[in-house]
Amino acid sequence: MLNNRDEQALEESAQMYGALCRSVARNILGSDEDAEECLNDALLTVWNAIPPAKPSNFSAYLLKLVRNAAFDRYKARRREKRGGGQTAQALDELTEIFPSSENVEQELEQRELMQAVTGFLQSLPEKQRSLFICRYWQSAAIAELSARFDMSESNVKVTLARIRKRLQKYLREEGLL
Amino acid sequence: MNAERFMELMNTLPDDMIVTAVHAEYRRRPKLIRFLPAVTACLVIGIFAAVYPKLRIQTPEITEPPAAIDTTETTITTTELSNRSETQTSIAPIRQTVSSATVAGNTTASVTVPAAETDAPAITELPETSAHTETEPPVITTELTDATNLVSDTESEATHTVVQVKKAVQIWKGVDMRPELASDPMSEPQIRCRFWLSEPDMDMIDGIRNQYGIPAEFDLTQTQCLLIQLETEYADTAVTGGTLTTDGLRLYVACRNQKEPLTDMHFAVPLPEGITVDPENCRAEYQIYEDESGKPKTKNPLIEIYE
Repeated sequence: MLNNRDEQALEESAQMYGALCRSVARNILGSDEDAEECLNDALLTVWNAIPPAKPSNFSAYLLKLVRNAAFDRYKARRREKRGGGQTAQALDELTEIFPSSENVEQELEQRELMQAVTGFLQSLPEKQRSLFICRYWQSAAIAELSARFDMSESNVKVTLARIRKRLQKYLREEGLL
Repeated sequence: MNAERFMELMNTLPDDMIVTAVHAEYRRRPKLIRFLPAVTACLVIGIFAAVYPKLRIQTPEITEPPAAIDTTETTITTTELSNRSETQTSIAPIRQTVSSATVAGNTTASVTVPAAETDAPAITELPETSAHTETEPPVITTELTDATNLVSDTESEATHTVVQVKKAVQIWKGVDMRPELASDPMSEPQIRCRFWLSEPDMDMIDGIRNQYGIPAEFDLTQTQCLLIQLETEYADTAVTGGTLTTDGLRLYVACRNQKEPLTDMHFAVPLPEGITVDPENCRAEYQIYEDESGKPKTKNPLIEIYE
């Protein structure tokens, strides 16, 4: 439908994936209004990109667009003042792995780093991998993760801490840190 | 690279990995082991509920009623008795146990006690005079020892309070008759007892209903009666009671130690549903008292039926 430039496709996409997209944006920005705007921005991007773009996984494509839009807003807002969403907290947790930006950027290509991270995540059990991605890609709150993964909040925190520690060790062993 | 940049770069993760993660739901399935304590508790309660009532029921100590007071009873011949009679003296109130035998379905029990005039007990063989008898009646011999050996109230009571009474039935008493003396009259005073069961035969029913005192409303075609014929030459002969067990009937008869003309007494015991009795297993137990002071209770005798 998008290839045929049918606007109905955007409405159906919003109905199908809107809730999930809003939750991703809301987790990053901490605001329903901003999340709605991020979804609209993402849908506009989809409208402009397809065609000629032909994403193999439309839901992942749309989610990434929403997340990128949310991050753009987050960075823009952060420039003014620090945001209040889960992203700030997630970033604090990741600073133990990435304490500074210059050294890594100077030494490694970002692409190579993410390939290593992807390989590491693939080596994890599915539940741990999903937990990590939900926390650091979706910026889901600990309480939400606790409910979704049927774990206590403290167990979620401990599990995430262990994954981070293993990722740090893995990246060091790979010479990426 | 800093943490913020890393999170941005996470958008480069494979699509399937992201989609799988954002749709991940790990709901804990109800595990059977969680219900195990409840199931175990239910089982324990169920078993306890089933077993506890049975545990509470204390099985009564079942001691069979005495088949016979055999402690002092021996079988001796008439010859021996005649020798003994010289040495044995008077008998006081006695209780005698008699054996029984069946001929053609009837049970006849008899005991001969010494006449009041004679001091020595005598046992005689009794010819069967009943119309039901086809062969010579069995020889019933009973050694009569001292009364003190045979008569003991405590002994009697001790043997009757052992099992749980299920029910008791009234004994119906028929007419007393004084038949013509047989051609072979009893040489000694005797008590004879016959047992048999009523049959749902109309001819028989009509004949026995009045003779055995069976009420008109009692349906003899539906319910069986144990019929008892008592021939006695003793005064005040009466049934004092009885016990009916799986071993048969034990009928308690009392009489005064005074000779009288032969009297035919008839009794009927209605058998409750489910109760069976074999006439072969029926016994009569006699108590002879010397005077009115020793007369046992004979009014409204009951047959106690035991399980």
